[in-house]
Amino acid sequence: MAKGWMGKFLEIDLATRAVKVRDTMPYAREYVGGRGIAARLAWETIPKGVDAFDPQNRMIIFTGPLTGTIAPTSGRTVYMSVSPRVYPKPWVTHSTMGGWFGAELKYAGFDGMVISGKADSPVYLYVTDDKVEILDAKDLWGQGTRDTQAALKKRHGVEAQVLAIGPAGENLSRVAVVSHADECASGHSGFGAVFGSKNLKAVVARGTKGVEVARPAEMFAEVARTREAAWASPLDGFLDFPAVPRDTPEQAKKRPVCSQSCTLNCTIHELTRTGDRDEVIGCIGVVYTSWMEVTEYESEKLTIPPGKSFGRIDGPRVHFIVDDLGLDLWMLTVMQPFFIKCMDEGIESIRGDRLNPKDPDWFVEVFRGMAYRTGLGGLFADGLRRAMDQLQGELPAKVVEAARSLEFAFGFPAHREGRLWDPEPLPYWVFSMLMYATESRDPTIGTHSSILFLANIMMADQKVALEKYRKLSKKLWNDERSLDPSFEAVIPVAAWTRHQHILIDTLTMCDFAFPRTVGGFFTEDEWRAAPDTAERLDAGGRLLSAVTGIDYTDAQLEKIAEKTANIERAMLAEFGRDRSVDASIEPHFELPCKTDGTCLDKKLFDELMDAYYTWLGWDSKKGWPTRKKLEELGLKDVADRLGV
Amino acid sequence: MGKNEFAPPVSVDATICRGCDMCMLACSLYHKGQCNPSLGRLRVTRDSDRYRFEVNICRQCEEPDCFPACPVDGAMERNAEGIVSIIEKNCIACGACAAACPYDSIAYHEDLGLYLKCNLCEGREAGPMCAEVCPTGALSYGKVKERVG
Repeated sequence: MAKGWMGKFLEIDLATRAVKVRDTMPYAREYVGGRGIAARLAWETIPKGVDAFDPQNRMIIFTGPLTGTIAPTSGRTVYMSVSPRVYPKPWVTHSTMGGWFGAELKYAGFDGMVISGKADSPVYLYVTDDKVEILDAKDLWGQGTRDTQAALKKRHGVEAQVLAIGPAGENLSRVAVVSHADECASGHSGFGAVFGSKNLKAVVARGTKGVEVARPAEMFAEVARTREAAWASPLDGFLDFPAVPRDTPEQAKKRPVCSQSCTLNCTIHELTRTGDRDEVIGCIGVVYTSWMEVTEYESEKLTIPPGKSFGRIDGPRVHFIVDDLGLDLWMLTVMQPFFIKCMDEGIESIRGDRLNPKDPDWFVEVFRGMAYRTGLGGLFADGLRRAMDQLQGELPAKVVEAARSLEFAFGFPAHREGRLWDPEPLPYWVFSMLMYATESRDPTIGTHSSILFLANIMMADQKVALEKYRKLSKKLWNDERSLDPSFEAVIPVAAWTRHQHILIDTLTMCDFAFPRTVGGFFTEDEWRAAPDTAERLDAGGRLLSAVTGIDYTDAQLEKIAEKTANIERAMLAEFGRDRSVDASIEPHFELPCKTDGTCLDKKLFDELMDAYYTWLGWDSKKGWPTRKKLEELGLKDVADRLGV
Repeated sequence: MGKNEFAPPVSVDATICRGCDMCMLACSLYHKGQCNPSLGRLRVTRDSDRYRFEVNICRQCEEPDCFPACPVDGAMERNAEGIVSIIEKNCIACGACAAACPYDSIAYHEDLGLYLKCNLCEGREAGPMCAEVCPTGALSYGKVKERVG
């Protein structure tokens, strides 16, 4: 048998308490792991059009063959379910998380689990060495995510790894997370509320088994080869977080990790102290302390004020509380500029509650309100878009419009779209736009290393960057111009990037490290001196081959990703997504890019979409996969059920 | 107390450990063909409130207490450099070595009934695997010969 997989996964019905153990391998052969297998299982088990909070909805949690091994950054877990956050109406989406849980689940003997039904009263799952128990969680209900994890570690041992929801998930906030360790979370997709709707407070894994590796010597060699490229972050020399001091080599070594087997010295992780605790903050945590100002956006059509960072004392403190409440930490990045905008427009209170959005303590109360559905926060418990449905008419139209722009993508926050959040110039925001338009959620969050870091670097020195990128572009897309600032050759890049982010979620690996279209550089000079910036693009496949003993080619892997993408799109189609829904994000991209002022209009959007659907083998009228494409991918059953 | 006047061959700077588990996983992979922290011959544990780690790895004592404590002929061997190994096929898993170790550096894997002790990946030219994969240098390997010489 191939190695890497534990060979079985759990199907758990919380209503009947029935547990089934199923064979992973038929799925592994077709979909490898993680997001691939989760998508297939979602297709097979989640009833068409079902609501997120319906007991028939499934919470799928899966790992990949690399999870739990020494493959760099592999300690990840993938979630899939109908997302209550999707606006206006839920559909199936995914979410990925770092940490140590996925590995521990494998050490307990399982590759993943599919959870259905609703328990009579609060429960948690305890998975350990080939068995699962459904245990009473009444004493944990009401507790924060951090206390819940601590209590369960006390009960089941410090090695146990815990997923937990907080009050936000219990109260079905559509922006509730499933939280784990320090800042790891299934964050954007509102899956904390899916847990809550099932009366599922936590999942605990603890195991003493191992993940077998088919070719250990090759594995060690691949890890050494990969690590060399993946110690410095690609952005070390380019991205200045104002409050993060330049590292000395010793400080650099202590940047925390958010995942098992992470060998990256991650630019966006730092350690801070809150009272008697160390708080690991990464990504959004760093934004709380020092990066909120980037929300500033100004154009004729829309103005978003800069946010106000909370600094290195209050930032981590607020961050900890939001994480403990079990809310998506990203909510600050849309809500704070929204409230500041309200005040700029002369609105000092909403429904009698005074606004004071630059004050961290005021925000803590808003977040509590969101988690418990009380007061002003209660209005925002289901995200900004849904809050605007309630406040439309009460607030000036331009404030409501600003809020809708901040969560323009089906209720997900703006991110890496060249406008409200990050400043990607042409053509990078077009890659983001094409993915936003066709995928289930903010897809850019999985594409940092495959494409988006290139944008940051290009902004430092366009001339040198383009010289380097033309080689990369030729190599990958057989066209030197694909990364040039133009709309001309963007289509293959968007499709490739789509596949790359599905692949790393499938193996599983971290998108901040792989695939390395650009190497790691501590300084800009190192980057300038480097002859070829595309490094170890095949790292994922080589590690996968070493672990499983199956020789995968890049082309095979891309095919598997494409298959997954098509199943995901078929599910979206069943939940009502089509070209007209895709087009609903178009007005956002009529706003000029904040770096170079580029934008599109309806006509150009339609042309790009025509080309993209055609490239993907989808019917460009409907935006659905064609039978031809589905059959080519071995998905005849999907074509039949979809009726194409 | 196991006498050890020399620095342990695998030196530990826990202040730069980040808890990535690479060392434990590489150890179990090298010796057992699988990534399994509970089969690692060293252990990394995290403080519950602080981002601080404790690394427990055998110090390869100059005058070890574990070796004389073993009651079974051939269950433990000591090589010319003074490094003690557990010989699994002869070990009866009585636990005498672990009980004798003053540093609690010999671990027990309950399910497999195995005692686990670091022997610096004996025979491996480049030295112990854990130090090789450690991304930060929290574990580093110094030559044993200099120590025993």
